[in-house]
Amino acid sequence: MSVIKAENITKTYKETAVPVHALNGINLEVQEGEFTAIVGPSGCGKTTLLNILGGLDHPSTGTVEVAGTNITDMKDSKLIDFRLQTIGFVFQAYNLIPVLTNKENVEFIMLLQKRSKAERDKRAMELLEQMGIADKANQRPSELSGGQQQRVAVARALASKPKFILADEPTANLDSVSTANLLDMMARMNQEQNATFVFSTHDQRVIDKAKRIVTLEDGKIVSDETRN
Amino acid sequence: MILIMAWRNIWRNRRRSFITLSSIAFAVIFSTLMMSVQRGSLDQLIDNSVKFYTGHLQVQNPEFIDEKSINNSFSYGSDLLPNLEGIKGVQAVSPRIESFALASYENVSKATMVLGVEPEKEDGIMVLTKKLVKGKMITSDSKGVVIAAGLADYLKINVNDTLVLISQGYHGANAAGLFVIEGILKFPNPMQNKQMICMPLQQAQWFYDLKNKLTSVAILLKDYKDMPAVEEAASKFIDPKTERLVTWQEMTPELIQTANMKFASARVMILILYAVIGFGMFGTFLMMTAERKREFGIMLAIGMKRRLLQTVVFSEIVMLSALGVLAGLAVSGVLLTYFHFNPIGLASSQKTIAEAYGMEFAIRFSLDQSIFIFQALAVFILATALSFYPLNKIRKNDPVVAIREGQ
Ligand SMILES: Nc1ncnc2c1ncn2[C@@H]1O[C@H](COP(=O)(O)OP(=O)(O)O)[C@@H](O)[C@H]1O
Ligand SMILES: [Mg+2]
Repeated sequence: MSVIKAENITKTYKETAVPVHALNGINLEVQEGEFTAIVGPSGCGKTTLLNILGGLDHPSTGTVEVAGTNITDMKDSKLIDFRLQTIGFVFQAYNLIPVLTNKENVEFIMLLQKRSKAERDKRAMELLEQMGIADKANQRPSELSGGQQQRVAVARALASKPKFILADEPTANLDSVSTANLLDMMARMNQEQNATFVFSTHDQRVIDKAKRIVTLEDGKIVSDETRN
Repeated sequence: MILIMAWRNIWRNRRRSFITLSSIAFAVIFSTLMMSVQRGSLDQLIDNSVKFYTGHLQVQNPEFIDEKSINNSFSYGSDLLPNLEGIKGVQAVSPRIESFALASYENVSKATMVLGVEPEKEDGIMVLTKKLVKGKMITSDSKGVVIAAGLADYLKINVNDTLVLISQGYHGANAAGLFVIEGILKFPNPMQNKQMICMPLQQAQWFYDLKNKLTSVAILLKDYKDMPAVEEAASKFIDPKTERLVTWQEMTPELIQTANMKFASARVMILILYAVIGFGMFGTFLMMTAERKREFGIMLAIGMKRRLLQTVVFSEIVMLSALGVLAGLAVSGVLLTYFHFNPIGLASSQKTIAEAYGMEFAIRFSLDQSIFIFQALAVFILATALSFYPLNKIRKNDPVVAIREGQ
């Protein structure tokens, strides 16, 4: 089943002195269970594309269908709720709410989904364990290393049981050990729980772990290969 | 978890929250103190006028308030005074004749105020006996008078000298008489000290040809809060055709006016203070909103409703202001209670002024609850108004921009 279907996406930033054509006709379909990397040099349009796929931004032209729903022209407040129920997000850094403990951060998204206290509690601990940071559950994010913080962020993204997780350069701020670690855990969640990941990167070591590699250049897809 | 988040957010930047808290607390302390002194001195002004002259209520001829003429007097039955004295909450009742006369001694004459009283009853209100500085006090059947010290100086008259009083009696009758000075009184109020002549009520009734008539009966209450009850009870004993109950507010409108004018500047100061505190709070909210722009963006991105995020931030603001108000009220409550029971004495220069106006010699602090309630409300209204800024920023936060800028 396809969880993302983007057709003829373009995005032009017009607020600048010279209009910037960030995306120039993107067609992309992502199936459930994929582990896909969007790769390309800085400025090629990765963030712009992920924002549009995640319903954070609207394309200039084209349509985006997520889990069977056309979100291209969806209104802000509806989109917020749609994101909550459908998409998990991991950003480059400082994803977490600093005043909440790591476990509360994971619980928080389930609280927004109005899940019961018991369910929140159980699932948060489960996910933190799977991400190897159960012992840090009651600490604040600031007490963790960058890599550990990103693992909490992945746990939070998984907690809401989304159709897929979008991760924009999740390892950009990490050293190579933490990078490998985080990717391994994401890959394991992909294998064991069939969690769908779409992440962007320009780091070759990360690219090597992906099953499908979509390469962007100047806002266009220049190659799309799937490996086994 | 929402309230926990709000609570923890307050303590994220302890220093800033502490500064905000203490500035709110300071504003509350300062303005409660100021309002308390204001209110206290208003009470004092009223007391000085009411307790030492008019009383809280008077029975008068309905016309007397507009035209203080002895023609606007009223006849009274023998049971009026005992009836009024019997009302619960009444401390003193004093029948009076208030009028004017020209006083002469040797070559000097002066217009004077004549007050006919029953000296023992008047000691419940004006306490003339305590004002005696020379000679002796009149009794209800004396033939002489006591006069104010300032007037005595002006007329160069002394105890045992004889004073000539000329006036007009009831309905145009001639009024003239010779009165021996029995004593000299020193009035703290300068107006009274220059003009006042007191004589026994019987003498005044004879002099003005007001047989069995009075111009007023002054009633002093134990506590002015009993006014409505006493007014109601007293109204049963008077005949509305010939008599009317007049409150101290009606008798001394200029008093309240003066007080209001005096306190206008204090109000302006409180207003300026709140404007300064308001700017401080606004600065805090401004920084807080800017610092947390990315965080807000992330919360909106992962699916937190704007309304809910606004609720968190609004709760923070309310909690912070509530803490500031509570701290301020606690401190000012302690201070005010202390000052209320241990009044600050005035400096000696001010003492002379206060004395001249017949005031007590201490700054009085009011503990009226409304002062505290007003402060709490003022801060909350201020905080709510200022919270518009962060709440509006949340409304307009675009996660795409907020997250990109924060990286
Ligand atoms: N808000 C914006 N306004 C103008 N230009 C933008 C904006 N956001 C991104 N861009 C431009 O769009 C292009 C793609 O940016 P981005 O999607 O961030 O690339 P990447 O994530 O691959 O580095 C870049 O040239 C960037 O400068
Ligand atoms: Mg990017």
